[in-house]
Amino acid sequence: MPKQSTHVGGFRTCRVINGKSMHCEVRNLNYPEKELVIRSRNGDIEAFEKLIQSYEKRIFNIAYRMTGDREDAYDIAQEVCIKIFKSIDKFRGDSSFSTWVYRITSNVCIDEMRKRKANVIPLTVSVSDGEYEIPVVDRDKLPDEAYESRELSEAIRLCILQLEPEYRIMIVLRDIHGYTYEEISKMLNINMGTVKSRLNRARNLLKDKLRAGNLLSTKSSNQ
Amino acid sequence: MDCSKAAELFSGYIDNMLDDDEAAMLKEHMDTCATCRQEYEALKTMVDKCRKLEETDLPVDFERDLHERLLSEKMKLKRGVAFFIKRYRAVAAAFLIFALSVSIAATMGLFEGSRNKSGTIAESLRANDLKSAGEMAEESGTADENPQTAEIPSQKEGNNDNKIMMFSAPADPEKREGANAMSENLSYDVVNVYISKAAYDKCSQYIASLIESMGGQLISQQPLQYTIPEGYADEFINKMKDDLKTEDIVVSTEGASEENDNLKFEKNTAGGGQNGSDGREMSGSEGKEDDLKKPLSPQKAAESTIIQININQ
Repeated sequence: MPKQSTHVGGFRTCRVINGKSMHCEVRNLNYPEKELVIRSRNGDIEAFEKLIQSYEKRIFNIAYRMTGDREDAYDIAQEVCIKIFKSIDKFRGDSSFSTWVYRITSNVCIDEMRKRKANVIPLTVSVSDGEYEIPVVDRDKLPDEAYESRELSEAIRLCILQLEPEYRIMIVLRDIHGYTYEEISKMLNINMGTVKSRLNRARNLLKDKLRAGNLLSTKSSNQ
Repeated sequence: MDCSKAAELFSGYIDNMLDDDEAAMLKEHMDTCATCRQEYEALKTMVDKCRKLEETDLPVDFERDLHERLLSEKMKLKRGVAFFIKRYRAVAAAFLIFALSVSIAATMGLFEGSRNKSGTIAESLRANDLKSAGEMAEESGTADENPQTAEIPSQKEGNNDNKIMMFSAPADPEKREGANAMSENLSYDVVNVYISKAAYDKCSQYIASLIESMGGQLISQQPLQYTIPEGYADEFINKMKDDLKTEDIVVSTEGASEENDNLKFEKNTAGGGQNGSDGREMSGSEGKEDDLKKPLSPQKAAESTIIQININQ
């Protein structure tokens, strides 16, 4: 089913059909947002809150997928918003405001992950006979298909956390939030070739981790 | 296309980022390679699953907490600015004072030579309606009760380099002409001379002689007051400035005459020195009436200027 993803703030509309970006439009600041940015630069908290409001949920979710913990994501998202407020005078509109916001978000998340590198979040499941047990889902309460779906989703969520930050952010931005290669390139300040190769690497690493837990079918589908 | 090359293209194929030739070659390879087809399907299943991960809601307190943090950050920013101002306040103040001093000096022509300087000062001060000596004393917080005990401002401020601070008319004849021309419309009620006792001991005779040469007379011993004909005040001031260069003397003029000048003058003279020139009650012993000449008539008094000698003990 086609998935319509309207970007926060209404400044980016990205239609994703069957996992493929069909159309993506990024506009620079419109008048209300520009005015809010100018007022925010002058320390107008109310204006900044209006400006950042439509980005908060996405910031929090990126942080959540990067950390796997709501409290950590909460702290990081707060830090990101404050950082944006303090550095908004540096935003010149060369890119869209959303790109700038998520660039800061990505950088803060990656920096935080690197700080915690010694504390790579392990899977919260125990290994038994070579299989991952996912304790968070009660199989008896879900039909098999739904259970498998939830099981895989949960496994993906946990396995993502085992990736290095630079690969983790690729999965989060591209596969979870659906940003285009070009947008990711601007957000992370890397070229398109690097985006392609790093995303390919991230996906293969994630696939290998899932497959190691027998959580990813190797059956060939009918194509 | 071999399997390793195909594996590199899976990701781009999923995202529709391959060019047509690459996509066609990959598809052709997967049609014949079951292993690569399985790998592709596994990868695509995983990606599709990622895209179905739902966004989690923002915690309810997020915006409230953010608001508080924003307020805090704004306060920090203000404190930072205040700290900067506080830290560099002394430097800024010193610079401001310096700039102001240079500006005033330039306005008064202090850079044009010493003789021209005094003339310009006099003109400037007259133009700006210089404060009276009484007002100066009030501002300095001294001699409210007794002008005789007033400190010489230059001494009080520790400015010993200026032996004479003369708020005077120009000594330069050309300048003085201008000053006199200006003084046609001004008349000094009182010229206050602030002088140290040591200085007064040395030059008391000179002052008395100078006043006498101008047709002036002693009218009070306590406070020590002379009167000179109106119009001689500038000359008196300039003579003091020119001839007493080495003494600690401050000469200050009072503003233009007012309607009650006669009354004030009569009070000064008839009161035997009980009141100062500004009408305030004086302390100390009574003056020696015998030494005084007859009080001036109101008409003559209106045409005179009081020279009050304030001796700093």
